[in-house]
Formats: sequence, structure tokens, C-alpha cells
Amino acid sequence: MNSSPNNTGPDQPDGPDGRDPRLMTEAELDRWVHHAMADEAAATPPGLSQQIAARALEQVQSTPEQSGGRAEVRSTGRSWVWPVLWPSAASVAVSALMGFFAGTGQLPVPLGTDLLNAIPPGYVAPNAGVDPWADTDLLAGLGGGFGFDAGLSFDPTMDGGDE
Amino acid sequence: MPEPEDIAASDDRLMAQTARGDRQAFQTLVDRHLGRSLVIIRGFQGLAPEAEDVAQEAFTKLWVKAPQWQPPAVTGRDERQALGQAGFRTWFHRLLINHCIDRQRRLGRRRAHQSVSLDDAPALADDRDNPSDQLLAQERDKTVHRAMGALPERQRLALTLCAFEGHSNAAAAEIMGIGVKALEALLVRGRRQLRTALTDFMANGSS
Repeated sequence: MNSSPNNTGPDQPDGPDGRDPRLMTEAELDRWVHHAMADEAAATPPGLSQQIAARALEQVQSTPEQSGGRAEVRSTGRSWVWPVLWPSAASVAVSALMGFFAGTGQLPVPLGTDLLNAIPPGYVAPNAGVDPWADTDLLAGLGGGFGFDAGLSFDPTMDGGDE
Repeated sequence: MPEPEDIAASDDRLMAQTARGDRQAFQTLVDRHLGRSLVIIRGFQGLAPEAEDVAQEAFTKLWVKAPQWQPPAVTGRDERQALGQAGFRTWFHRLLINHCIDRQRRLGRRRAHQSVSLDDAPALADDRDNPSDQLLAQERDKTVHRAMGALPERQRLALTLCAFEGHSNAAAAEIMGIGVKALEALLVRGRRQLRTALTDFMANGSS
């Protein structure tokens, strides 16, 4: 074979229609490819497409994962969203609330160091070291002074209950 | 005869109908695209003997995945490309080629980047009696077909998508999952090797 593109000798191979492939343009070459393949595509036996389509639909119906494929695709598209979204949304809401109170410097309830600072230095609670459950009389005394000594006047005789 | 643009828009409509479960629309799509799909499938090494089975599986996938397909907002090919939207043919060819690659892997026959000898290349079987001009065209087709069969698989696929299917370089690159530059390199090498293969084949006799 002679591989020189410029060779015009008698052994130069010509195409079936007299063209030398080495001298063909890109478009001509593509046109040959197109014709060859188009003829092959057109040679598809008649009726084959009906058979293929029928078999494809049959396969879809007979295979559970494929027959349910459409519904699954749509349902799974939603099913994972809420279990992921709700905890995320709750977490974001709590974070935002905490951030708000931290930003204003005020907490919704008096907690933490404010309460501790309110106790004067050296203060000893009156019932420190006393076991409240050791003596029922003490409990009675505590009960008497627990709420009613806080500015409220209480006279058992006024109740009239004992009369 | 309808213009290619009309056919593309019509394919898009048929695909939308198929997504809604229209079997007649599905049948029409198969009628239109089976022959060309078989050509693409036979271009994959080892898949020619079972091309019809592979095509059937690909069309099954088309039916199942149809609801996921997004119709392009515009019908013009250039506009679609500008917006990065794939028409039906680009979408389906990507599906088909991915399926062929999967099928090759399953069969353990993947021989990408391998060439076959001209003697092993598949010949276009066509023994119809034709007048001389048809015989000439028939012989040319057979020669081109055998020369194409001698190309490495990816070069053959690139040429098939561009020269036969008429995809733009950008669309063919998208279908093959490669960059446009890589596709252009495949086309250049493919055309060069095709010229050489045609020359060799003609020098050695076409029968």
C-alpha cells in the first residue's frame, strides 16, 4: 500500500465511488459515515420496534422494583425530608432563642450569678445543719413560720373553725 | 417531511406524554429511535450479538425514568444549549450509552481503547439485488462500516454521535461525560484513523 497522500500512482487506493479517502474533507468523511449508519439503522426489521416496546413494558410490569419505580421516586422524594427537617428546624429555633437572650443580657428567669450575688457575705442559713425530718415539732414550727410570718396576720380564733 | 427541529420538539412532547404513562407515545418513541439506538449499541465491543436485548433494557429504563426528565423550556437547540438544557435525544443517548457501559462491565467484556483487526470488524450484511449505483453505495457503506469497526471504541462513539446522530460537539461531549476539547481530540484521531482504515481496506480489496 502506498501511504503518501500526494501519490497519484496506479496503486493509489480509491474509494468505491472513485474518491481517495486520504484526500477527502472532514465533511465528506462524515457524510460517508452518516450514509453507512443511516442505511444500517433503516435495515431494522419491520415489527421489531413493536416487539421491543411490548417487552419493555412487560418487563416493567413484571419487575416489582421497576413497576413501583415511579411511585417510589415521587414518595421517597418527600419521605426523607420531614424527619430531617423537623429536628433541624427545632434545633435552629432553640439556638435562635438562646442567642436572643444572650444578646440582650437578660434571661427569662433570675438564674445564675445574680442570685448568688444577692446573698450577703457571712450569711448562715437559720436551719443550717438541722435535719428537718428529725423532729416533727420542728416541722410544725417551720410550718407555722414558713409562710404566715411573711407579713400576713394569722389568728386561728378568727377562722371560727374550732368553735 | 418534518424539519429536525420539529422532530426534536415532537420527541419532547412524546416524552412528556410517556412520563404521564401514555403507552402509545412510548411506542412512537421506540419506533423512531430503535434503529439508530441499535447502531450505537453495536458500536460497543461485545454488545452486537445482544443489541436487541440491550435496546429493550434501555427503553425500559426510559419508561421508568421518564418522570425524572425535565422538558426544556425552549425548543431551539442553540437556545437549549445556551441554557444548559438537554433535549430528549441528548438525554436518551446519555441513558443509552451509560447502559451500554454498564452492560459491558457486567459481561466482563470491556475492551475500551482496543482496536479490532479489519478481518474481525463487523460487516454490514446486505445482500439485496440492486442496480449498479445502489451497489456502489452499498459497497461504500460496507467499507465505511468495516473501517468504523476497526476504530477504538470511544473514537467510534464520538464519530457516531457527531457524524451520524448530528449532535453538536458540546452535546456529544455531555453525552459521553467528557469535556469538549477531549471530544474534539477523539474526533480528530477518529477521522484520521478512519481515513487510514478506509485506505488500507480499499488497497487490500473490499470483498
